[in-house]
Amino acid sequence: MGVVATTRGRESARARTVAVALLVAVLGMFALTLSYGDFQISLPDVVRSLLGLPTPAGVDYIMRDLRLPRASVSALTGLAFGLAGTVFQQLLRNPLASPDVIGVSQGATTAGIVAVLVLGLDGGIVAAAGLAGAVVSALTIYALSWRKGVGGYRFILVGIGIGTVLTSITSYILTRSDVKVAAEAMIWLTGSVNGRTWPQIVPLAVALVILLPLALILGRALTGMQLGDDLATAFGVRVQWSRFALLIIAVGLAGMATAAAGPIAFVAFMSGPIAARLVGGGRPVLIQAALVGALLVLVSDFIGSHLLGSREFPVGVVTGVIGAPYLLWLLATANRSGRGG
Amino acid sequence: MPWDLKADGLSLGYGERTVVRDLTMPVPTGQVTIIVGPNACGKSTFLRGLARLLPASSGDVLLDGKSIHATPSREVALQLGILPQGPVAPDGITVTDLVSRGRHVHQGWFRRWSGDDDEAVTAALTATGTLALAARPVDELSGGQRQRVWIAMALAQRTGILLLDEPTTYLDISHQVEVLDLLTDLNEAEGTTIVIVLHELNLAFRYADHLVVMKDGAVVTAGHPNDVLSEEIVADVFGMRCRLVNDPISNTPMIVPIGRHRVRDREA
Repeated sequence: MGVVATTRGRESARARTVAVALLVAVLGMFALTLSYGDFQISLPDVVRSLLGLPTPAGVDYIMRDLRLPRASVSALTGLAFGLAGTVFQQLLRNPLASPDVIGVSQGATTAGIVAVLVLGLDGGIVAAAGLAGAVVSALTIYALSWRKGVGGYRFILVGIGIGTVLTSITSYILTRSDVKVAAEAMIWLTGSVNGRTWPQIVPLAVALVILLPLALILGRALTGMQLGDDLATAFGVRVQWSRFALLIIAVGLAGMATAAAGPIAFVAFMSGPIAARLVGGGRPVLIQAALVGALLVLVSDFIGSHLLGSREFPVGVVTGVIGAPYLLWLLATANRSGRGG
Repeated sequence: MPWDLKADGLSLGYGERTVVRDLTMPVPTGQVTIIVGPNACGKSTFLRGLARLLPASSGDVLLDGKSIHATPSREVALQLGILPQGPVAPDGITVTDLVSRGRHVHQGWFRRWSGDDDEAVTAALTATGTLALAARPVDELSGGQRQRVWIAMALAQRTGILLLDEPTTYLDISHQVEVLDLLTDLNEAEGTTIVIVLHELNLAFRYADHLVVMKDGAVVTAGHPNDVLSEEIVADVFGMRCRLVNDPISNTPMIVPIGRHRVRDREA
């Protein structure tokens, strides 16, 4: 076998191995989230309860009403944020270009806050509002940065501007609201997977079932677009169309995930680069990034709820503590190596 | 046989600024065309226009007699490849992976990577002398090696027409000659139509079957270097006095610039 086939085979094998290992880790953390807590449930009982078999008293209630929603929303938002983040970063060829750094997640957040605090809505309608908010802010960024096509830097700078505007609007609404309601909204704003109910989770699950395969299919264009618009065009990729379709998919994922669990800080931002580091090489790593996102949220929630003493912290606090230094490191090293950031 | 490529009354620009104006030029099929001209004369813009990377503000580019913008992009990509100036590789990508990207148009949602693709990538690496680098990350290569890897990527696309924008930038003289030899090999072996934008005039005069001299977005003269060059044309286009002497190796014109200093008295 030639060196080309060998090298390609080695890279594919490593990408597969990383994906499988991440999947195993995600399933492990999922099981741990279901089993561990003030009320310990043994793994066999976890499995029995999931399968609907008879279990000791109280197990079914804790599983179905408390822990399964929590573990599910953690895994699903993680998958959605991880995938959305890496699609954005690959499309705009910049590690800063994730939906939580530019204004897309903020769009979902503001719309969610308006829906809850101003209009008094809840459930599936909040999800729809979050999605709409993400789409509107993304389209605004897209339109404002359009100049015969959309380029990376302009998109990011406009996005950061829009994000700042939206954050101010959110703060304004919060200060005008009843203190108690605003305090509850603050927890959601931090990003929390606690106390989620199925009507909040199901829309996200449906979105993932539709959008994840679409992203993987359209992701083929990314292998061309990673080399820049000119070469992607030279390869026959319809660049503007593919970019728009992939952005809409990523915006949908980020918006739905934000509506379900709040803008869990930095998950979208960190997952892609971590997955790329694990896989090595320069391939777009969509599945791996989605799984890293799920693992990040599950692990962070476990740390926040069990390992930081008697107080429980929302998952967004933990991911924020991990993500902020990474952002600083990225800004520092990117400027030093002259690549900008 | 490569498809015919022709600029037909082509104007190109960025926003309000017109860079190439009403340019009509058939690209000689199966030959090596080299475009030269001073900085900002529109030669790179013209090449990008030929490759449908820029929309025409008026006129058209005809590929096989049909408008290149009306032809499906995938179909164009099977016939025409371009290596733009200064491409940027994704962080961490290996040489094999980068050159494999050149096979993009030959893949599809239903057509997976095959032995043909392996063969095309291996051949491109071999032709550019980079097979030994196949497993290395592109980040770690020298400028010259990197340039040859990019050319390998363009070769792997296996198109009948290949456009290259300044493919010898960053290369020392021996590697410049090597790249032009390599492209001539490709032209002679496969009959590939090649269009190169080149800075290095003496190499352009030596390697061109068809030389295109541009100034201010228009073609000043075009043809075989032996037929179309004169000291007056070079002086006019580049704004510099010069002598044209015979290149003893290739029997083509060779430029000897005349500046303000280091000139013997009777030339001054």
